[in-house]
Amino acid sequence: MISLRYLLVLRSMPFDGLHVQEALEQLMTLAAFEQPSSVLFVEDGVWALKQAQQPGQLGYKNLSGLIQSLALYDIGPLWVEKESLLERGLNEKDLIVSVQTIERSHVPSLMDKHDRLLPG
Amino acid sequence: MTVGILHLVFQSPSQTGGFRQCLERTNENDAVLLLGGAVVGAKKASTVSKVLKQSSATIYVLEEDLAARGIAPEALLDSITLVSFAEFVGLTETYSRILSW
Repeated sequence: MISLRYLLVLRSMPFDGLHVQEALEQLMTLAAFEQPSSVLFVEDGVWALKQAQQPGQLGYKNLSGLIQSLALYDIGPLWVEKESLLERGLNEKDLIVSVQTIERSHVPSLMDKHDRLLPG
Repeated sequence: MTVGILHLVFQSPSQTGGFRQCLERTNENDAVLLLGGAVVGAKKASTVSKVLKQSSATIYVLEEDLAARGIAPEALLDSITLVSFAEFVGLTETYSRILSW
């Protein structure tokens, strides 16, 4: 089977529809086909990693279980853009998992190391 | 020169953040194709055109989407290359990797 390196560029706000959940679930499908994949959280996409989410009252599932289970599927590393965190008053301590931070200026070369890019 | 990524931007810069978010994350190997409402971002003297000027990527605008909005090619920044639908297809052949914004 051909193996391609996938990068999900996740920039959507969570809990505004199921978009973020579905984008992450796509990666699990890729993992089932043994395609190496990782995620880059940018802009409002970083909110998916925020600790203490309680979306239940809105009728959404908590994303932290889904994000923590990515490692079990060998999905990773999880990249987070440093500026996107800073601009939102967040830092790595606010996040549910340990991540690799990357500066915005290095994002193009990170993308360049992958064979396929998925919008999210 | 290595072939980078073809970024497709679909919406006007005042409608969604994708326009600025994309252009801030491109380098000189990349291409950005503005289509749909995003074409207005390439207009000379528009506030957002400075975001375009700061990008080192090659910027393309889909001519059908520009014409639909009554914008003449001369009204665009000089660095812009206009493409037809057929040339759009050619770009997707040149760049094997595509990311939509």
